[in-house]
Amino acid sequence: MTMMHAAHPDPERLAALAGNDADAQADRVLTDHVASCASCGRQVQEMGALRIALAQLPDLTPSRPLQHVPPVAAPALSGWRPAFRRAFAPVAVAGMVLLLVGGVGVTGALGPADAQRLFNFMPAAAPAQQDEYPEVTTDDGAAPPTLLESPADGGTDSSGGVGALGPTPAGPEVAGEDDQGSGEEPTTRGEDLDAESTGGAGWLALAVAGLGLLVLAFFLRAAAPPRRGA
Amino acid sequence: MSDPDPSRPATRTGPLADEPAVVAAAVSGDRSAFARLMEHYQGACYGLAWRLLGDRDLAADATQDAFIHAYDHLGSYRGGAFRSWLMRITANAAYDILRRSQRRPTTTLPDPEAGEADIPDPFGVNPVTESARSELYRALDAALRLLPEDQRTAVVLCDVYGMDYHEVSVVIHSPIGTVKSRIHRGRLRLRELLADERELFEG
Repeated sequence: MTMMHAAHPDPERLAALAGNDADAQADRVLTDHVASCASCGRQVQEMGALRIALAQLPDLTPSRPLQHVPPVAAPALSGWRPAFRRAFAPVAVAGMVLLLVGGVGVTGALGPADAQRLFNFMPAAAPAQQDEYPEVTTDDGAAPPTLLESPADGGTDSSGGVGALGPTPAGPEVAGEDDQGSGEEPTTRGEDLDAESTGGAGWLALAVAGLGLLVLAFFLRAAAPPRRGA
Repeated sequence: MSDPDPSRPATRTGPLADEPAVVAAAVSGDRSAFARLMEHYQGACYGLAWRLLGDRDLAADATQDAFIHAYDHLGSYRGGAFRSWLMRITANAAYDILRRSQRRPTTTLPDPEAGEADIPDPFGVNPVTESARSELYRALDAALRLLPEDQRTAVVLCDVYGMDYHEVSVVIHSPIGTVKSRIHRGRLRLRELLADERELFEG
């Protein structure tokens, strides 16, 4: 035991005794001294009363409202769901674009000639038709108007490409006027009808593909819904 | 001695009547049960944080941190008094903030002997109209604020919130011998600071 002087113990020992410290309570020299010393006994008593008062200090009201429960965190998605979530937007956009373009084509706003031009990646149809055109002749020996030329300007479109790219009449109209002008050429009409049907089928396929992508996008969204609040 | 102001807590928050069931529900994932526990003990947690930090905003931050930590680590609750478990978390949260705040420049504590002590009233009431008990509480909190930080932390955790030496040593990352010494010196210093208020806590 550390003594401050011969008569009184170290004040920290008194504080320990006041706090019911086990070591201090087991120190017989200390407890005997406190029992016989009025000054040290009063110090211990005062610090004991102080401890009791400290233990009764009340709770306090928070200075601001507190959030008792953290906000719900979005559950972690399994391996394939993030990929689904990322794929949703491009698939949906591609589907809408294809459906729009295909739908416009199918409803006749664009002719089959435009379909041929836009879909020249279809190798089976495009080269065959180009090979067949030279075999068709008119009465005056001139080359017949192609599907891409407008009969209104007699096939002398100086721009060369405007008839194809501009809002020219569609293939069937070209074929019809050609029939009226010559009164024959069933072969040319047959080829035009083939081209028309091929182009129409292309537009239809395009629209169906777009619709399929939209359905796929729907299932992607259903399988991996967006994060709440994200 | 008259009753304290009824607009604020009169004493410590006791356990809920159905606390074991509420705690079990919270542990099993019932968010409303957890919220009920936090709402019940928020005054206790905030009081501890305020007495360690001495700042209302920091105390609210520490209490909020403690709630989040308790929610995230509810699985580590191993029974016993839920209040004690939550108070240990709050003490750690407040002590972390205390350590961080000490890395920044701070103003020095006022010297009470020079008459510079200007202790804010944590109860927000006029001391003139307070009861004797409220005056005692205010005097105790003011005296605690004047202790050196290491002694204040040890005394608050041990004498105010009833933690044993080992629990305090874990919170403040110090040996038990150091903890004991700080507590004992803190008690001696408090007795000196409250020499003029002795009749309040001896009555």
